[in-house]
Amino acid sequence: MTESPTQRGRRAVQGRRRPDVTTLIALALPVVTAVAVGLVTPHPTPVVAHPPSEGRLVQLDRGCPPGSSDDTVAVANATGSAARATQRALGEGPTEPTHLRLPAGAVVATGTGADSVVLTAQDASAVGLVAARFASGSVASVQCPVASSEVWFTGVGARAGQQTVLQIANPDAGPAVVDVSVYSGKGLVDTPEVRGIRVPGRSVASVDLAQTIPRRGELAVQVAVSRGRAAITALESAGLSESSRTGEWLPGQAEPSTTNLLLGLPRDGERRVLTLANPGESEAVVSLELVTDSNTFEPTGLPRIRVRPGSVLRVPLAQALSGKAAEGATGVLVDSSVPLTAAVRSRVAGDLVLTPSAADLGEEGAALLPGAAAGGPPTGAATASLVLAGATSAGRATLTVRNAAGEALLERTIRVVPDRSLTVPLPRDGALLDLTSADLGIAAAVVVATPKGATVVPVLDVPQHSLTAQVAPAGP
Amino acid sequence: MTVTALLVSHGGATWLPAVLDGIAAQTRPVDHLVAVDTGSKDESVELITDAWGEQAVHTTSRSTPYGEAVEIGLRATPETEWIWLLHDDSNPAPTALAELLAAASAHPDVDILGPKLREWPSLKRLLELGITITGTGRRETGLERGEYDQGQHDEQRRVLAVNTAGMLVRRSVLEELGGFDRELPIFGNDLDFGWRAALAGRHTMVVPEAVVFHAEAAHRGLRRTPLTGRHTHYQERRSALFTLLANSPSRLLPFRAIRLAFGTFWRMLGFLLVRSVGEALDELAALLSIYAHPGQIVRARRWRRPSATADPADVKPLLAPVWLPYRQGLDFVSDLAAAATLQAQDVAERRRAARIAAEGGPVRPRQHEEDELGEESGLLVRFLTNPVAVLLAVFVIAALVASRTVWGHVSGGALAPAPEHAGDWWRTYTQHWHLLVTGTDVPAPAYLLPVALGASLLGGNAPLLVSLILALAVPAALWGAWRFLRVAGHLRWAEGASRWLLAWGAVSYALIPATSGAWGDGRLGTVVTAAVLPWLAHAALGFADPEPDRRWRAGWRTGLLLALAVAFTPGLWLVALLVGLLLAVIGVAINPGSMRQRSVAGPPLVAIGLPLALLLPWLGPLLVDGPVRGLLLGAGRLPSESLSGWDLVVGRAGSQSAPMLLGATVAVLALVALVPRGPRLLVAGCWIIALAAAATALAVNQVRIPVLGGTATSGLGVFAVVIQGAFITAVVLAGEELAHQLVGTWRRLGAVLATVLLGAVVLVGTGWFVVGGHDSLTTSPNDVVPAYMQDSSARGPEHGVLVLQGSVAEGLTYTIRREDGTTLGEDEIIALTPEDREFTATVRTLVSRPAAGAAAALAEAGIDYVLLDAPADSQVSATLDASVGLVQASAQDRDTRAWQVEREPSPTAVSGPGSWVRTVLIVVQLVLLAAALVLCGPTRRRAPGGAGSASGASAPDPARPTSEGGPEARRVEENAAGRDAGQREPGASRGTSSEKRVRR
Repeated sequence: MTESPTQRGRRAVQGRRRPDVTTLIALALPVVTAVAVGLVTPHPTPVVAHPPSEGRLVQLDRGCPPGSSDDTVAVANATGSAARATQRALGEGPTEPTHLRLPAGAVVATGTGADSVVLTAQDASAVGLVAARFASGSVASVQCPVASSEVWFTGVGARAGQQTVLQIANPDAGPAVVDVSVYSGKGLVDTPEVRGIRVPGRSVASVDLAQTIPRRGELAVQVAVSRGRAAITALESAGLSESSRTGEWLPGQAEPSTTNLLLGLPRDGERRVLTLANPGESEAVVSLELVTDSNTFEPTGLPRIRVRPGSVLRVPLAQALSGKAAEGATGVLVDSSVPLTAAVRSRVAGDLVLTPSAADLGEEGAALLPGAAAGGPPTGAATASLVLAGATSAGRATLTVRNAAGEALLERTIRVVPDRSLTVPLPRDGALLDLTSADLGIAAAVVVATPKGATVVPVLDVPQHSLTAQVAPAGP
Repeated sequence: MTVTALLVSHGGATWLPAVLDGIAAQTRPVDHLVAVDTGSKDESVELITDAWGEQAVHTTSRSTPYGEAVEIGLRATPETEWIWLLHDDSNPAPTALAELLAAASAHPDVDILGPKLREWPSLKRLLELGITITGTGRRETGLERGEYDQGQHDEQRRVLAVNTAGMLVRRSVLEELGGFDRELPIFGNDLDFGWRAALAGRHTMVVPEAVVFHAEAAHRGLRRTPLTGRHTHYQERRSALFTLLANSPSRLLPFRAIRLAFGTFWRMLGFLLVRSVGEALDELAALLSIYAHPGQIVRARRWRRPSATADPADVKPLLAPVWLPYRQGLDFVSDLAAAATLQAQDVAERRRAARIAAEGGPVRPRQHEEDELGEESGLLVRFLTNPVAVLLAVFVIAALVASRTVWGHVSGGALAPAPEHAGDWWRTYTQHWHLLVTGTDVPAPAYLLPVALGASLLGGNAPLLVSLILALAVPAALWGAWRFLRVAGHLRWAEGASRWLLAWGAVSYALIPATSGAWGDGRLGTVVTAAVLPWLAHAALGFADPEPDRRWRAGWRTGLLLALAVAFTPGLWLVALLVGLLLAVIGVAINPGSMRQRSVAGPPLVAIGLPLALLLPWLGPLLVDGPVRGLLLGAGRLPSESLSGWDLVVGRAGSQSAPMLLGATVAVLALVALVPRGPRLLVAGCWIIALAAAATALAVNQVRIPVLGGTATSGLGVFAVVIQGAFITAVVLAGEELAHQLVGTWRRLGAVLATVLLGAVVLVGTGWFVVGGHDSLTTSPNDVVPAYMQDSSARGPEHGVLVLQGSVAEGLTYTIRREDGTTLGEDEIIALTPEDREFTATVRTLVSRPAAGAAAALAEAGIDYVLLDAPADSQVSATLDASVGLVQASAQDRDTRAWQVEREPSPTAVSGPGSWVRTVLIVVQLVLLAAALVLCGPTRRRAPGGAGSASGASAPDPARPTSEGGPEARRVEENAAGRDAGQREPGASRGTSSEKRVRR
């Protein structure tokens, strides 16, 4: 049988074993599919933070605690420009607000009597609003705090010889709910009595710790506002008998910090005690330094300080401040491994002096001085001096001190350097102090001393800005 | 006794020779012969004249009604006692007249006698043994369809009426009753006559011993006469309504009138379901024609009144029982359901049959494996002795157990809770303006229509529908996959794939909704599509049917199922389009001419195009007003599932999926499936579908959809399902081949390995599902909004709750809860709603400074409460506490804050304009849906025996009164497998109960 040329040709082609179409398809399809799926990448939903934008402060509320009817509540705008504010007395029943005109640089003393008052300034007037209550017949005064949601008081007492009264002013129409957490030397105290305290709208609640939660030893309290806002102050009276009792408003601290600068140690102070509170869950290792106008140093002979978690520690400073080098100490710098709150208690001529942890002033700080009180500064040989410290870098700050009428008594550009304090004597009639600087991280306090005693007036940060949250509809 | 035979003819030359012979061959000769011809155009007149002589034939016009023709005949008839009416297509058996007269002698009280009518030309099947009428106007014979005459009904008995073909009637009675009603020119006049006679106290009897063969030509409805026009069914139905209303007792008349109106609605629906639109319209026209002219009924009743002397109670037993129409309706529904589910089952078989027929071989129906035990075995026995059936049943039970968490008001993951009632879905779907966020005109998602329809069928219980979908998704996917894989297997081998392999494929696929994680994540869209997909694929196999009609139907069915799936997962449409294009290219390459045929290229185009038309109320507004990219957004809460290519390959469609090894095993096996040469083309087809899904996923994944508060991507879960489905099909198709190819040791080793792998996939997957705990579904969702605020917001859409989340440091986001919260179907609307910048600015002001205006603006925007979710940002809460116009309200816990807006919200806060465009779109959609459903429906076929009698009959035929029948009288084609024309043996009476003889 002979093969035709066509058959031979076909066989030749088969002999080369060319893969057929289906084989090619079988090879190609998975490859192409694999390529296609290989290019598919997942798109997890990104978690994007939208940081707030910073704008000019639009409203500021300061709440002044109640006091005696002879007290003075002084109001001013620290920026030196004319401003307006609204004042509303807090108490039972609705009250109508009073509108105050604050002439440029001047201090307006209002006769609010014993009532707690809330001062509100909006928009252009909001920046620089300061207010203070001055006790009649003593150097005691309190810079009215901004309504906030949390404040700490360290070194308070809840016993007969040292009793602290928390004054909680609710500036808003709705009720505020406040929780007080108490820390003692033995740790966090279970105090259901002072949790969930309801403060009705536009009223003040007072919590006498000695009556509510009597405890021995020094305490630290955290006052947290879980509903609404409150301006919180603490009034402390020391001494067992009515005659020996001295009262002092205890300035608060916004939050625990690993660096506490306790600025404003009055001269000739006695029985100085540093109180440290560690609200955290870890033990704090603490180092102390003394700040003077010439340097900052660690005093010798101090034992290693450790503060157990959730507890309060009392550290007598007598030994640390006994050396010669410590003579000009203006403040104590407390560095700790975990955030702490701190305060120094002293006695000057039997008067209780409380030195709080000074706040970073940011761009501007201000304080109302005893010259702002209605009767002027306390009689006698009163001296006032500004202590500045804590600068993170060298720079200049501008200090302006005015009298109650708004006249500038002192205008001075001062040079600040890190690791040392600067003491500036202030005019006797000084009523309003304003301190501006580039953001140097400085803190300041005014020490007012009279033959009868002394007080430390903290220079408070003047809020300049408010944060405006980014708002958007909820996305995927 | 003298008898005149009266023959009315009209174009019956086809049958006349036999009919005339039949009359001539009577054992008891007829005394007189009279014929009336109504304008025949064929040689009818000549045929009769030749047989009976010229004097016996009388001619009249084409439009002469039957009654008049009889009257003409009577006038020409000498006085005889009896008149024997005959049609030109009714052939009496030789003894017919003798038997009738014998019965007349035996029952002197009987005035009308009728023979047993048998089918002509089959001669064996029974047509009528007396007739009656049901309450719905249906002509009732009491016989089964195509029932063979075995003497089973041979009993002389009283009936309401007998057919005029072969009716022996006393001339006196005929004249006394005024003959046949002129209002009934063709249809139903025998029933009417019988009823009138009964009311006049006359007796009608059927004499089964007398047999007349009847061609029933007009029953086909294929010929038109001037009297019927184009619409035979219209005339039939009109006659039925007329007869019923003219003869019913007066007290029943109002009830009858209302019932017939409702009945017409149901009958129309029935006709539409069997794709008989013309007859559905005829139904309506007939009803309107009767109801618009009540005068004709009044006249007819007045005409009947003098003769109606009998007690209607005596007539009542002759009428059909009242329950009969309901049972017939039920039978129709079950027939339809069976037809709908069994359709296309045998695409492969029909292709094979067509091929064999083309080659000239005999066509033998395939013997199903299920039938091995024989029909005589009980269902339970057959089930229990079939291990595959038992295993599948066990799997279904396991799946139901595994979905135990979904019963109740389920939500969680991407699944929003369903509203309380289906009415809410209908409202959301039909409204142009939605009272969501601050008001929006974004169109409702397309899937709301099917869920609203579904929930309405459940009595409006929307949560139950969601639970049912989640619980039945796996069983539905199992059933669909089994059916699809079985037919796919038959396409490859005549005997089909092994049942074990089919079971593996069906179970593996059915597990995909669960093991992919879509079920656990509450991805309703992916779950529904996974359940619908095998049915869709099954319908698409119909494109390969040898019959064009079935291909078209496959196109509509595929299109409808695709529209359903696309409504939930729009991405699937792109896959379908791509698959269609790829297959078209291949089709052109293989056979360039085939694609030019309309019935080849048309059905796939219908399938691709139908979803676009059906989803117009959703598609249109998004195309016109945007965002167009929103068209890719499927059902479910955002974010969509974010998947990698690997996830797609291993069938992972959610965060809580089964071990990836299961899907990976299937993928590897699908790769191996390409090895055997035999089924390679089919397996390649599966890979092409997988490739199309992968390519679409790749493209879709690049699209960023702008949504409220950010951007989103389309979920890729559906593509993972398609790819896994294609892989499983490939494995099943190749598995059988591999089993045959491997020989000896290799075969055994391969079989063991395959069994272990396949078994592991199914067992591990099922076990994983049953153990549970892999889902975010819950029936008690943790709502941040306190109960009292929910109650408040339920008061009306303007009582919204503004929910703020986040902090000043990281940004705040807001949502607005209105009415019963964001329910299923509303998330998609909210997502595509453009941001209301004015409202956002209001919220920003509100949280930034305590100004009085912001709270008032909230009231204007329809906000009653502000909720700051835990952990509440202290600065924000302080600002809100200080805001004038907000009052603190209580919240769920201490970390959450709430305020009430003092001012009462504006009632018109979120109201917006209506739109006639939306209404029009929805009406168009519903009409299209109804049309598509009709076109998907099984084809109806008339009762058997029609083919012969209809042939050659094109002229009008007034001589043939015929039964009128609704859709229930028709046959549903696909359901006819066991009882189709000529298939049933005598005695094998397996018809439905209502088809049994109606005993009275």
